[in-house]
Amino acid sequence: MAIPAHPDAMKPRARTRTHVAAPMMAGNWWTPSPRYRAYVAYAFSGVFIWLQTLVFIRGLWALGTGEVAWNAFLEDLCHPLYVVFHVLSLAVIVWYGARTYFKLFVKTQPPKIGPMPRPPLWVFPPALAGAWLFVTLAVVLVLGGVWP
Amino acid sequence: MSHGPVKKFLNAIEPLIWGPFVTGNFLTPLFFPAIILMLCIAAPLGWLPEGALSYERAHALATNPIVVVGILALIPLALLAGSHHLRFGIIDVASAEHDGPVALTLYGLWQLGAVVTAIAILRIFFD
Repeated sequence: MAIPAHPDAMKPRARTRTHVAAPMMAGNWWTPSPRYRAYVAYAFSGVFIWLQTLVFIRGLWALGTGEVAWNAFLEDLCHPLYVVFHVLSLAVIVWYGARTYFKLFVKTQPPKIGPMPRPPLWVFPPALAGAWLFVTLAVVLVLGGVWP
Repeated sequence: MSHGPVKKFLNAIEPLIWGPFVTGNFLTPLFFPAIILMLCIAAPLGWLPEGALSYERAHALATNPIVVVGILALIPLALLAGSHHLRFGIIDVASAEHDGPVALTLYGLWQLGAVVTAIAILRIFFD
């Protein structure tokens, strides 16, 4: 089934007097190719980001309500459905991060960063992996009760 | 999709949204996995030491100025990253025909989430 494409798709560079039909695209354009499927999955990772953020906001709200509400929030997180959702959410967001840092980040760097020339592109993946490990370790230590 | 005032408004705010979106796109996968792992998986499964997420400790952490700034930045930016991704996912998979109401709803929810987060932080300070 054909669906309306973005109206700016196939738009001529200069305004013309010729009227053209609205661009259409196949409704399942993204299903045949693994690259397109990954692209769409990347966009819809937003669902997990949203739901996960709502869980965090609920936790903050409970913390502001008091000790009983906070403990009830922690108790709710023990429900098996919550645990399954969070394992899935963790997998999706790690995949989302790997795609952001190791596939897209390097491709979107400008030739200059401010007045400075951009570092060589091979620097970015290990630097991003190092930053991710550092932040992960810091959060694990803090929420694990080890530090401070 | 109409080219009416909603579309003009969305086009006008696009450059303003792009910077925070990219920042959220970068910060969300940097911080979220460890927080999910510890708060939402390790704690419920009893992998954390006693008292690691007790009310007193969680309250002290959430009122630390660095943590407050981090939460006030991270949560709204994550919501924006999610909203922006979803908006363009819907355009790509469904249609751009209803982009106006979809975008206004998603960005509106992002703004609402940011306000609720700020109120939640204030409640922690004044409980």
